[in-house]
Amino acid sequence: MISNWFGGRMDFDARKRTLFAIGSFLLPLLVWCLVSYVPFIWHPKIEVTVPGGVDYFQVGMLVDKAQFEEETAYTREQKLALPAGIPANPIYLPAPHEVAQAFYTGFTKAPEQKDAPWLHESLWHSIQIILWGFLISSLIGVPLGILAGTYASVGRLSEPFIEFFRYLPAPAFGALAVAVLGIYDGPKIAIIVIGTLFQQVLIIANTTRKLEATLIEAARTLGTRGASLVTKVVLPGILPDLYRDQRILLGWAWTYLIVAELIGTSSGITWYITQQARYQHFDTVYAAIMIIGIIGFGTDLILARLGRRLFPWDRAQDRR
Amino acid sequence: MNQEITQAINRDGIGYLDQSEAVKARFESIRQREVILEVRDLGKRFRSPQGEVDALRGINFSVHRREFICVIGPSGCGKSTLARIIAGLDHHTSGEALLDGKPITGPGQDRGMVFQGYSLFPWLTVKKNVMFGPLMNRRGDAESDALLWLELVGLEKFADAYPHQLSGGMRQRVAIARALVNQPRILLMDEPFGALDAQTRAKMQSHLIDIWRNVDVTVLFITHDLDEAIYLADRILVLKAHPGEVQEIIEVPVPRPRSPAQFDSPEFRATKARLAELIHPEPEPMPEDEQAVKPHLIRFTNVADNVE
Ligand SMILES: Nc1ncnc2c1ncn2[C@@H]1O[C@H](COP(=O)(O)OP(=O)(O)O)[C@@H](O)[C@H]1O
Ligand SMILES: [Mg+2]
Repeated sequence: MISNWFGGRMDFDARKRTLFAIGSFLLPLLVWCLVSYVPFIWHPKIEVTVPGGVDYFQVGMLVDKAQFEEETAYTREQKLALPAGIPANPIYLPAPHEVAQAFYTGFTKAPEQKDAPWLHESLWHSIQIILWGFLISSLIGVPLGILAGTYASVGRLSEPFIEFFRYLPAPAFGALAVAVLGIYDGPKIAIIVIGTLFQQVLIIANTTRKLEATLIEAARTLGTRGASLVTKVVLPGILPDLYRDQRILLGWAWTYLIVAELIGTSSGITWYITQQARYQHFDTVYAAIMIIGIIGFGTDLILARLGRRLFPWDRAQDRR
Repeated sequence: MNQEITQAINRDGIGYLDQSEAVKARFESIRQREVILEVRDLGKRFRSPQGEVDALRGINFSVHRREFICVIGPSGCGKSTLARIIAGLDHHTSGEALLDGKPITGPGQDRGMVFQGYSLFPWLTVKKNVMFGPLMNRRGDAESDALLWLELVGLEKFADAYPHQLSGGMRQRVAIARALVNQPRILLMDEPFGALDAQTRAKMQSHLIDIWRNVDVTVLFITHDLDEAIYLADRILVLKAHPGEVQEIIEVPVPRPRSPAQFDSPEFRATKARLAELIHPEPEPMPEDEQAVKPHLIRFTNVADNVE
């Protein structure tokens, strides 16, 4: 049985794979539930339910366990009314149901501050930043990558510099981007472009170089010349891999989102999260972080599925 | 092995140079036809970090229309290089190669090529693969041409399949159809059946002969399989390695039409004996990395537990 479970990667049938995928989400959720709902696991704080004789205690207040015990001992000594409380986790670790609730109210209840954007408005703003950044990066990066991978001279001329540039951290260009592009969306999009573009050129150039040389030679013997070689052979030949690369790069673009949105005037989901954290609404913070993950991961799943549709000849698409 | 063959020759009393009247007449008629390909003093020198390699040196031969030529030789003797130069994929460094009297400068649709590896475009269906050439050259009705050629190789039922859904033999049939649809003057085939199993290979050989009989095309077929070369060829160009030079051009004395039954005929055996003599005169020196491998066998089973 055990050896079955640890068997090769291939004998994972579809049903088993789905089960394991669900399990990989359930496991961390289970840990979170245990820490949240089982009182003797962690719970380093006491939530005061009866203040008793302690003058600064209030109902719902969180105090350290040691402090609570000290105060209890003191009131006992002074023959005052004893305080009471239940074990609790720190404010920054809300329970799953609280986060789930915040998730729901985030979309259904108007924000507390007037004029503040709703959760979905903040999200939509963030998604637009990503899409513009990724689009601009791809418009330059994909053609350049393909040319660099096809023509050795283009590759030799562009890649060393790009190789150097990609080590420069994108957020370091924040101040510069603000100076050039203003404080609103411009610099944020620029950071995503800088963070994505250079990797994109190198990755796509590499993918292009991996195309079977025989395919190009076969096309040449069939009378293909010049630009047709790129459009009729190289491009369709690498398309499934290019698509996969773009999926991965889109994921990277997401990771630049938060830094990008902190530049200039904070906006989008980042602004929403920092606002909520300022008011100690950590359940909402978690909900907002999670929704980024859900959107990113969900997009990738949909794109993967779409890939299988788009490239029926490419069996490698089935693997992910 | 070698001895056996020599005895066979003695018993039959036939050498590979002895031709029957019919075979002689056939070669005479081939020589009457116009020359399609002429290779004169052709040389190819590769410059690599390890130094210069003469892949080919002083190659001379000519091929007549609708002749079937096999090129044979040990691995590394420049067979692929020769085919690639004729295809226009590589440039020679000396001498000249003429197709219909005109020097070869680059690839063109007058020369078709079938590669050993799977060179079909994986993103195109079988039919679209075959249509690729006609579409590139904007010639005629690509689709009906493609279907015609697919029928010829017996794959019309698979027109809408993708290459990855086909077996190795079927893929090579598509590759042949794709090359022939351009109606090339000469079809270059670089070990096209090398990756196939013995049975499929035999079938493909007969099939190729059938195609060649019915189509106006000249074939230059590269192989390292002696039987394959004798079975298919009118003449066999025997190359030797380091540098790649022509050792001999053998006129195959086995009469046509060919059939697998001839594998055991005296002419066939005599020719094979000659090829074996030319290609394996001495045991090839082992590559250095193979020499470094010295297995040291330790007994892992019970001493009494013997398998033979
Ligand atoms: N691109 C290349 N650069 C350097 N040497 C090469 C190159 N291609 C082939 N060669 C050398 O030329 C010789 C002939 O190669 P090839 O034509 O592939 O032989 P074959 O097809 O008969 O096995 C070999 O020694 C090989 O190492
Ligand atoms: Mg070869």
